[in-house]
Amino acid sequence: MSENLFLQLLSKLLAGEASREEIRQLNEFTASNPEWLAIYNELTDKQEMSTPEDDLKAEQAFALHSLKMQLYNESSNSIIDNSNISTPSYKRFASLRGKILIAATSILLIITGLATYKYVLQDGKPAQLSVVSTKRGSRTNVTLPDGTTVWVNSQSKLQYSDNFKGKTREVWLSGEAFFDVKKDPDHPFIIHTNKINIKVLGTAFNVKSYPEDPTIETSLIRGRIEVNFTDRPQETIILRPNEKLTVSKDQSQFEKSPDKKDSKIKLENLNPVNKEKLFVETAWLSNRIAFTDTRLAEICSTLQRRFNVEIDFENKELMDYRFTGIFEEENLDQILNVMKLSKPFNHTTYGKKITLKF
Amino acid sequence: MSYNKYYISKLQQDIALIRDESAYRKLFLLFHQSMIRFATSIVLSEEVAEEIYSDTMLKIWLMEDKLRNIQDLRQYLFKVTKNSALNHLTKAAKNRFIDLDSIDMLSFSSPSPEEKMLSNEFQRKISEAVNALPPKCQLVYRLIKEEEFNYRQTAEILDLSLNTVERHMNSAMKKIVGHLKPYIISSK
Repeated sequence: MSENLFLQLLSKLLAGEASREEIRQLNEFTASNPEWLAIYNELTDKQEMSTPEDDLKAEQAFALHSLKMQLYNESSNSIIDNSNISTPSYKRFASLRGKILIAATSILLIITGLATYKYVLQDGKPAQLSVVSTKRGSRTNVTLPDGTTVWVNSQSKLQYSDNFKGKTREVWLSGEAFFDVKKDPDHPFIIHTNKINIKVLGTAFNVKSYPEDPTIETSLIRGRIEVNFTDRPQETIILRPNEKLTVSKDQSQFEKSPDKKDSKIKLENLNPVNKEKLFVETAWLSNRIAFTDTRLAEICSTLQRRFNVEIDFENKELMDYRFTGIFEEENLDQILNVMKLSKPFNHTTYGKKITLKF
Repeated sequence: MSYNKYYISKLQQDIALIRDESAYRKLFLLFHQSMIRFATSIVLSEEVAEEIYSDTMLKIWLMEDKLRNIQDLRQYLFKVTKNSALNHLTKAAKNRFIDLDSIDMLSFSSPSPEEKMLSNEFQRKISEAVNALPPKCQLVYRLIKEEEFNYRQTAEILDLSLNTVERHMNSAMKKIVGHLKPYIISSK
């Protein structure tokens, strides 16, 4: 058999096009020509397997994709704007002033416009800001003028100028939000929070900066972001996918050191909670609550915001109990009861106030 | 990875007729890796590949019961992806029309899962040779070898004639084996 014929038959074999006779010929040939057999083996070697990393990427991609689907679903359910049917209707919602809207989905959507606008200087000229804010227990999403989508978690506030006409696209965030930024390298997207500024070089990531929390977190899902500190803008840290940056705010009032300590920063990898590869940091996007080896005190902080309740600890030691888990429950009692199964404690409810004790 | 045609058809059916979200998710996850790899080899950016895949899967959902009419879903997805990828490149090149001949695949730096798991020298040599193939040739080889499509399906996906596909495949094999020969034939 000539080399050309061998190659032709091998091609057919790989394409599933080889006849039985042709396969027989190939086998005969390789059986009596060991070096060609070696080549045959190397080329027909099937090594297609997906690594856990690939599975993780797929899961993440689906999480992001299903959010986009939700947004698409919701916008096609509401009133169609005659001018441009493909425009998600949330774009209109965000610029409505002083109105309260409720969506027909399970997510309670409340957008409060301020009675008076905040004025900020942008490019030397006063710019009007739109505000999206959420109350405890509710989340919302909004599309910014450039097409960027933002999911805003409970008790949060996002502010941005009505038109992103300047050299940069800037927003101000207090609370927690997930950003899916529209790529535009000519106009950097910048998020201002209390202690840090985030310049977006990529696309999807989560920022958590609640005033009452001792730390600020930002977690990157896709793309790259560059973080700098408001008081030291030259110092930058770049995050890559699946990295999380935690910044401690300054020390508590009780410390009396003459020189201010540097903000403690910690760069780490995001931790998947379980086989389903759900990240703790973005669990809230799929209506889940997730935590890994987290103190009960912190868990309750999240529960308070999510369910709009107040949780007190009658026995302070309970605050240090640690739990790991994921919940899809919409019922706070159920969540507490499940936690009790692994480490017992008691809770009593009085209206919106819950007390935990031994 | 061998795809079970019946399994895929069942998922298709469930998505089309009863809007089964769990089936949709399974489909999304099933095709993700290979579609991203394929799209990335054309657009050179995994991010863009993800966007293309997401848009394509959204279209799949929105087809509703028309989805049942697609005979070979995998082939269909690859074809749509190829078109979206070329469209993207065309837009990026300020609408100077880009076709398969004019794409540059050589700078595709991220290794495929196959390449990541290459344990031996020969596989690495093969990989080298594949990466050095001209764009169309490389795509043909990859679709046949890695994605296990046959000649007809490959021709459909890339909008080529059967003869052209065969020609490219033979040419690819020649080049790859040529690259590999010195290492195998001489080391008896």
